[in-house]
Parts: sequence; C-alpha cells; structure tokens
Amino acid sequence: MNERNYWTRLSRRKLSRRTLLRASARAGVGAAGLVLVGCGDDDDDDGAQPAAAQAQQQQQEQQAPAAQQQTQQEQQAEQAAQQAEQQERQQQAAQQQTSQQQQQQQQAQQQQQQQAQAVQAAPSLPRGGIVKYGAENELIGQSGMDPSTALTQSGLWRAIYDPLISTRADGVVDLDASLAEAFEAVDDTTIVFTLRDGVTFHDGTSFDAEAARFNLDRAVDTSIPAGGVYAAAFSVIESKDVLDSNTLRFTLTGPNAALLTNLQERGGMMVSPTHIEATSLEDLRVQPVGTGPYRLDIWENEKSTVLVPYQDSWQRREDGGPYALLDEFHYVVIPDAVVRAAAIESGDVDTFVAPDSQVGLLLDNDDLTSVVRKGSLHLSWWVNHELYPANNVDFRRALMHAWDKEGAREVFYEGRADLGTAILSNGNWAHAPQENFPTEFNMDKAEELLVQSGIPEEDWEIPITAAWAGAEPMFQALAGSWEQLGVRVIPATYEEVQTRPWANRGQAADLHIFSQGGDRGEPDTFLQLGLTEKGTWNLGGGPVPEVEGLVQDAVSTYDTEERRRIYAEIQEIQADLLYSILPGLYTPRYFFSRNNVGGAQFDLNGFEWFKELHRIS
Amino acid sequence: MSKFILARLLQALPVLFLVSILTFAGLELVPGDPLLAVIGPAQDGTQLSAEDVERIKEQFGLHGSLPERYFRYVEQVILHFDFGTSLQSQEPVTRVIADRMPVSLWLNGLALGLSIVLGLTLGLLAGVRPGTRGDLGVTFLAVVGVAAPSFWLAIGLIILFSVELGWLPTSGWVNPTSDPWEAAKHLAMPVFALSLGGVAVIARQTRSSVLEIRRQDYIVTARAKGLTSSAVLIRHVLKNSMLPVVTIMGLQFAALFGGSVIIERLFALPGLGRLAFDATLAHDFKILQGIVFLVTLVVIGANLLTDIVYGMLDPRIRYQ
Repeated sequence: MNERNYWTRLSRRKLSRRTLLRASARAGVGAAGLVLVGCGDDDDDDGAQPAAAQAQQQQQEQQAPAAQQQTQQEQQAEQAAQQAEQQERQQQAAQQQTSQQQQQQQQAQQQQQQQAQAVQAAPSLPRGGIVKYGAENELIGQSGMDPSTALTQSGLWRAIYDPLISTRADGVVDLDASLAEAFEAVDDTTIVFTLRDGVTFHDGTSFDAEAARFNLDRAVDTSIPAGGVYAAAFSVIESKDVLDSNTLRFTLTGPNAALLTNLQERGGMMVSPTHIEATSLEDLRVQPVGTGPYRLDIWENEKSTVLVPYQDSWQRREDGGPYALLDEFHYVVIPDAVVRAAAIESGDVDTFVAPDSQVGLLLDNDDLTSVVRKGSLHLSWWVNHELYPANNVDFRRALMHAWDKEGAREVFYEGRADLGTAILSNGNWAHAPQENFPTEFNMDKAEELLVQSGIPEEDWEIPITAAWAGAEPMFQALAGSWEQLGVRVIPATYEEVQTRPWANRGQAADLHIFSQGGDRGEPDTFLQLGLTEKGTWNLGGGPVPEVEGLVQDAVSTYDTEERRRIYAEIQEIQADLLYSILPGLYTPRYFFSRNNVGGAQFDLNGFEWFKELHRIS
Repeated sequence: MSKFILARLLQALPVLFLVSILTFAGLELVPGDPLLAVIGPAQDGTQLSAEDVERIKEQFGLHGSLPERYFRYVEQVILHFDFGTSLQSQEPVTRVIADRMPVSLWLNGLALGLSIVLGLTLGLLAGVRPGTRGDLGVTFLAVVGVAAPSFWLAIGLIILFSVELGWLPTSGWVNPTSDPWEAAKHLAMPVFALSLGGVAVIARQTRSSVLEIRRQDYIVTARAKGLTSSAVLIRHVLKNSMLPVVTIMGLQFAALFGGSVIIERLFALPGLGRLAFDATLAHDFKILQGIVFLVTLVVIGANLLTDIVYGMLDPRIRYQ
C-alpha cells in the first residue's frame, strides 16, 4: 500500500484509538494501566502513527486479555512482582516508542516539506498554444459553476477551482494538488486540516481557514435557492472550527471514510468569499472565481468559453512559471456526437471524450491518441425488487440470464466493454467479481429459473423503460430476449423514467429502469443510494436488511483493507439476492487528443483532467 | 390597407389566446415532472428532502393547481411580458430567448433569402424553357432537395467540406457583425442545408406557376401587342405567378424555424432551435412556452405579411 494513502494513515489512527481505550480500562485497575495511559497520551499528541509503533500497539492489543487476567489476580504478591517487572519493560518500550514516534513525526514533517517543494517543482512541460476541447453540453450556462447550486460537474471545475483535499485517479489523496497541505485525524471524529500559505483567489484575495469554512458552510446551506446540494454528503460534519488562519478542525458525528472523497468534489471546492458576497446568485453561477491554475476569461452562453492561465497560481512548474501550460483553453460546445468526432478529425477541436458510437472510428485514426478509463459507467437493469413479480429473486436471476451481454458488448461497444460481475464496477477500487453473479447469457437456465420462481405465467411481466434516449437500441435488444423468454415488457415513457423513480427522492417507484450510472471510484455514495432503504437508487424504497448494516459499517471504518473486505461481502450478498443495480456491462470512456496535444487524463470521478494539457511541438 | 392590417391583427388575438392555452396545457400535461429540470436526477449522491422540493416548487412557480398556474402565467406574460424563469439555467426566459434570437434571425433570414433567390431563379429558368436540360436539372435538384433530410445533408456537407477538404469549420458561431468572413465560413453549410428544402419547394412552385401563366390568353395578347420577351416575363408572367409562390414563402418562413432545431444542434449554433431542443430534453417547459409563443407571433406576423403582399400583388384581394 502506498505510504501516502490517506486510508492507510487513518487505519493506523483507528488502531491507536482502540489501544487507547483498552489502556484506559487498564488504568482503572492497576499501575500498569497508568503507564499505558501515559503512553496513550503520547500517541494522541504525536499525530501520525509510525509503523513500528503500530506493530507494538497491535502486540499490546493481543496482550490485553492476559493483562486483564493478571489484574484480577493482582492481590497475589508474586504476580504483582512480575507485573512490576512487566511495567518497567513496558515503560522502557513506551519511551522507545515515543522516541521512534518523534523520529517518525520529524520524517513526516520532512516528507511534507518535500511534498511542498515538489509542488514548487512540478514537471515543466512545453508551454504556449491553444487547446480546444469539444464538449457535448454547455456547462457553465446550464448547470452553473456555483458549488452550492450546481448539480453536475466536469473537468472545467478542477481547472478553475481547487478542493480542500484532492484525490488522484487511483483514489489516493494527493496533497500536492490540495489546498490543505496536511491533515491529521486526531481521533475517529476529529480531523485537523493545515491549509496552505500564500494561496490567492483569481480576484486577488487570500485563501485561509475562514474562507474554507465559509465555502463549506455554503455548500450545505439549504436557504440558498436550489442550493445546499451537499447538505446530505457533508451532514457528517458536525462542526467546523477555525483554530487559526491556516488551521481548520472538523468534528464529525461519527467516523466517515467517504468524507475526504466527497471533499474533492465540487462541494469541497473553494470560491472567493469576497466574490460570493459581492455577486448575485444568478451571476455566481456563471462567474467562477477559484484558486485553480486557469481562470475564466471569456464566457458567452453556448458561444464561447475561454480559460487563461492564472499567473499567481500557488501551484508552480519547474521553470518557475504558473501551473497552467496553455495560453488559452477553449471549451467548445458541439452537441452532436458525429459532428464532434468530425471536429477532432478535421482539427477544429484538439481533444474530447468520445461518445461510444464514435470510438471505433476514432481508434483507427493515426492522427489521434487516446487514454481510456475502464468501468467508467455500468449499463444496468435497475431493478425494483419490491415490485411483483420482480420481488422474487429467481425471477430477477432468470431475467439477468436472459440478457445477452456478450452480444450487446460486441454490437454496441465493438467488444470494448467488460461483462458485469458485481454491483461495483471494475473501475472501482473495491470491485470484487462474484462467481454467483448472473453474468452468463443462458436462456435454458433462465427458463429453468423462471419456472423455479413459482410465479404463474400470466404474471410474467415487467414495467420498464430506458432511462435515456441513447439506451433505446440496447434496451430493445434486452426486451426482445425477455419477450422470447415469455416475459411481457411493459414500456414506460422516457419522460416517466426521468421523474418517477429519481425525482421522487426516496418514495417508492412503480417501474424498473434500464440505465447506466457510475460509482465514481468511491463505493460509499453509490451503495448508500442503491443498497439502503429509501436510497434514491433503491427504486422500491424497501428495506435491504442483509446489506444495509454492512454499507454503514464500511463507511464507519478508516481501515482500507477492512472496507475492501466489507465491500466484497456486500457484493457477494448482492450477487445472491440481486438487489438494486444489476450491471450487464461495464463501459469505458475514451479521451482522445490530436497527436500534437499531450496531458489528457481522467480524474477519480471519471471527469476530464485538463490541468496537464499542453501542446507538443 | 390600414383597415385590412388592423383587421388581420385583431383576428390574431384569439389565435394567440388559444395558443397560450394549448402551449401551457400541452406542456404542463406532458408526462413527467418539470421539477426534475431544477433538481436533476439524483445521480451524484445529492439528495433533497420533501421540504426542499416544496420550497423549490414555490421558487419556480410550480406550485398550485393547473388553472392557478395558467392564470399566473397569462398575467405575467400580458402585464410584464415575463415568461418566468428557466427551470434549468434559472435565468429569465425573456433574456435567454433574446440572447438566442440574433443567431436564429441570421440563420433563418439568410436561409430564407437564399431559398427565395435560388428558388425563384431556378424556377423561372425551368418554367421559361420547359423540357430543356436546365429544366431537367432543376427538377432533379428540386426532387433531391425535397427528399433529402436536412440532417443527412448537413452531415454530408461536414464530412466533405470540413473533414475531407478542410475548407470550412465543422460547427460554431461567429457574429457576422464582428467578423464577416469567419461568420460566412461558419454559416455557409448550415444556411445551405437549411435552405435547400425551401429552394426545392419554391423552385417547383415557381416553375409550375410560370408554366401555367405562360399558357394564359393575356400572355398571348401581351406578346401579340409587341412586348419583348423580357417585358412579358417580368411584367406579366412573374407578377402573376407570384401569388402561389408567396403563399409557399410564408409557409417556408414558419417551416424554417422547425428545420433550424436540427440544423442549429448539428452545427452547434446557439439559436432558438437548439434552445428548444435542449429545453425539451431538460423538461424546461418555461423556455418552451416562451419559444412556442414567440414562434406563434412570428408565424402570425409572416401570415400577415403574406396577406399584405397578396393585396399588393392582386388588388381584388385587398377589397374583399
């Protein structure tokens, strides 16, 4: 595991906490406990838990039951003497541990300083030129770029804004790109962020802890019209305290492993408070003022969006210049997929994320290069397992086996998609393929299961629809298979699916959906929505007792491996019971660039990462 | 003439009233909840409580019964010319429409102009010399123009002129007043793709009208009294064959707005057509109501103009 992995660090903190609790218990019954309490205090003060200390504490944990037994027999003098010897040994060990911790802390500080230096010395790449990105939708004009009200995100956000905590595409916290240069989990429910010095917003005002708190308060403020979209995601933050201009402390309602991932999204992105206070809500949507490497220079709704480098950006390159490499970045809206592909072929745009229908054609073009993100989305049957007859697991399994996923993969994705093997996609770090998942297309098995379900043939029907227009051909193929099986498909309209299940926010829907969605690399949000009672993606809104508790457990521990284990268990249970979202295919995204453009990549969420884009001469 | 125009304007009022009811009710009764345009499908983990949903409904005037909402809508439109706030972009509808209007006016105006000029010219050429190669060519072009869908034609043009030849940009908008040359390059393909259908229809209508008029006795008389061919053509044939052609032109003007929905989307032109397309997908019925109302006004205006031109071409109509 990478040493800089946030989860690894916090998992150590978790062990430290347990050790402390047990040590406190001992303190109440004997002198040995007092010594351990002393050790524990040192732990708290030290912050980062070094590996050696962790190993020793784990050893102490293993010794804990024995220590309790000894306490019960402490009236015996002989044992008391032995215990005194043990105390002495432990005290020595604790002193040694403290010394090691101090060394480790110094090393951590040095590492942070090195990281800070690394920020100054980001690789220098060719500067200059204009890069045009071809986008399907107008982003600023439609959903806006006010973190409090925007409902969608895109690569533009990370070009203009910086979040408190940034995460790399592989899920590892990237402090080099974060406005917090360090953070410390003091205990399970307290996190202290140390913010960078010398960061300024595009309007020249300074970023500090007050600005961070102001933005985070605003992200959850439901009094803002159509605002507070992060109220649910950040509800775990009980309080935000400014300790000094560079230090912000979160007190959480409970441990929450998904919080930092959520903080790297738009809810955690920082806007100039001065700008917010001086600007109307309407204008705030279209006038983003962040700390990112690019600033918005020109914006005309659906006509022109031009970013230029922010010369005073806190992130610098080796050559001492600003982080942004381009003279100008143009965000060009071309709604039609075919025309967008033609635009990159003709050179009208330099880079874009290709629609599925155009990928095959563009991969054959020698003038283009591409990066791919596998498992970006999953094409799924969003099952309403509360709705008869799909409330029968054999019925659901039968229908899944009647879905020719390999055929769909070949026909619609030219073989580029992967077969669904679990509720979490293969682009998610917690993905655990399940043998029992109904991946195989087998009509005989489907017929068998349908009979086994015990549901009378006259009830074999399913109200369902494709959730977006592009899914219609794939949905028709699926519906054809189901009808061949003898199941009547009752189509609902596109308009109905747009509102009935998703806009009702937790109320039971009365249909199923054929759709695609993404888990954005972080399992928690996806599973909270899909596998908890009233979760928006749990279409029936019914209880899911077998997994709901596990979903909560998984987010309540900071131990990555423990989380991975729990998510594997959830996926195993889900494969047996077939709740909520049943992926047929995991579909990839392709980010194409012309050969004279470099640096195209995806972020953790699958959004385009524009910050490294540069011209290759 | 002024009485004639006033009468036509008065006749337009009940049409507008009817249209307002139909647009409002039609869009309100479409299955699906327009609230989705505001709060979006909760695909990214953000959730709103029932209270939040109610609060947002009030903000956007989506509360109350259907008649209540209608009367609120009519009151706003009549008293303040206010079509409300876009559910998606949360901007005033009038501002959104006004922002897009110039693009559509340029596109549709140029397309209409091209349709008329090319259609009349080709129709006249074919009608004056029927059975010649020119006539056959025009007839063939007219058939192709009517049969070829504009989106197919547009894609073909893009592949030929942008991808293969690299002469024209695939898409985008440049204001003709700021950079006429760039604007011409950007508008060439969309204007041609949008106008070809109109060219075909007007050419066919002109050709058949000219053929019919040329057979009339007064044309023989005109020739018999010694008028030159060009004088006969311009003073008698062209003027008299214009009546049905003007009708077609009026209809074309309305049809162009329909065609521009696809063309504006394909060529990424930020006009009313693309706005209508996006608003439909986003359930932004406030925008749709505004556009439909506006297009109705334009169509009524075009019909009025057609009637006036009728009157100018044929005095008998003026005094009926």
